[in-house]
Amino acid sequence: MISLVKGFFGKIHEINVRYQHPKIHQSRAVKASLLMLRIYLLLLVVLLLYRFVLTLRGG
Amino acid sequence: MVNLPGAAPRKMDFLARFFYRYRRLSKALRLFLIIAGPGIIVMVADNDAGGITTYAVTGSNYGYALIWFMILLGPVAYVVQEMCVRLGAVTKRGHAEAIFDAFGSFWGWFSLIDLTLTDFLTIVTEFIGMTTALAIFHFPPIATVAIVIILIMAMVLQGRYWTWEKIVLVFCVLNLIYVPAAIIVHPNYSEVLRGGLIPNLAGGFTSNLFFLLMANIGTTIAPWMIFFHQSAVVDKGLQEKDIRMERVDTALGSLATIIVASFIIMLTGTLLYGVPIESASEAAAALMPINNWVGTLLAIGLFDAGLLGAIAISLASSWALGEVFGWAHSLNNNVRQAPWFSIFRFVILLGAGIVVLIPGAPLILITLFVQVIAVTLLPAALVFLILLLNNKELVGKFKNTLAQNIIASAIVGVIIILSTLYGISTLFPNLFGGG
Repeated sequence: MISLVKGFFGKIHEINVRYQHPKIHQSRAVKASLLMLRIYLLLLVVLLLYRFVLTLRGG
Repeated sequence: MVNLPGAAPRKMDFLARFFYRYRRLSKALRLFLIIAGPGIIVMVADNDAGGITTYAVTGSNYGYALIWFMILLGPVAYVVQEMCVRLGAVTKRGHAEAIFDAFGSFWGWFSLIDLTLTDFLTIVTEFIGMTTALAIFHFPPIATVAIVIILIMAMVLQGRYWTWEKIVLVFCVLNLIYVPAAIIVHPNYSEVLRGGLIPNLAGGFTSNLFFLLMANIGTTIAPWMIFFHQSAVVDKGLQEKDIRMERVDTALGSLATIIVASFIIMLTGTLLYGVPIESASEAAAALMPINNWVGTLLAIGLFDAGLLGAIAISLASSWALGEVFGWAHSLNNNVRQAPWFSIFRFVILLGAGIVVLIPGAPLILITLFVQVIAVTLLPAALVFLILLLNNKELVGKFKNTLAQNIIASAIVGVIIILSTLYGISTLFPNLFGGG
């Protein structure tokens, strides 16, 4: 079981190393799109957390 | 008409020309029958249990008035799925692997984890649909879950993509059961033509209408479809030369989606207009006393829709994980050749089935949560799709043209805005004046 878990994390590390550097040419459009996506996701996470807090307070 | 010396005669014999055209057409048809599959499956599976519920509720709330909107969504879904076809056929990679490779591990893990979570929750909703559909015939939910899991796993035992695809296509044909079901109830066709096909906002832009329009978009364009279609194209081994036929396959699939959606709206719009229903199974149960045959067909169709959804969605994540983790992940491999691929699929189906069977499980909350989680993944998956299809090094001559970019970007922009509003309105139901 331990070896299975170790193997799993080893595999994740291997994947992280393999895909460490994005291969797509980082043009302005790509950079801008990725930035927008990060902001978008951040906003959604904030909204989810806000909803979660509201639910905990019984809102 | 004068023939130039040395040129082929311009006037071919009528019979020869007819025979030539017949041969050409029959060759194209045979080729199409070989290539067809992924496009039809992804589009018809899109009419899953959640989709059927959305269409049934749309019909019961607004009658025929929103059929035009479903027709509009067909080409929209086609544009998105056509990009998956090109990307898969040219790169021979699934969408998850393509994201890892092009955008690095952060976006890769984000997409993979989000997809797996969304798929798991969506499969829960498929099981809800299937168990409630068969409960109408007094079939116990535990038996439904067990039979569905055994059936889905048995379909891949042989380890042949072809066998799997043909079985799923039979289930796709069964999805058309809503067409005769709607015809039986004699919809008012002139009203369908006048009130349904001409774009209108069904008595004003209310929060309920807004929510239903967004729900229809959410059910027509889903993240799993992008991952599923691209991986299916790769697993089937489609090449660049097959793109044209796969486009036809996808277009036919989107046509089938529109037809099924429209006929469900016609069905509930005829018999249940104004009746407050919240799900397709409720609609089927409500129809039983009015017309037993129609209620039965609706319940069978709901079960089939849930089954198709579970088949396709469980595969979308299994393919994605297999691509990234480097497991054998083809439907052409049997269980021994691709053990992790099969185990993961079994686990995700079993887990979702168990959730549905837990007494008092928050199934309504799960159904709502699916929309929110899907909204976090859909924009990223769509943006990545467009960025990848603008990379000439990756897709060469199959790169998006300017026109394709304008259309795809406009569609993606609108989908992102509306699906985000849908997700937010699910989180905060009172925000847009809803109840």
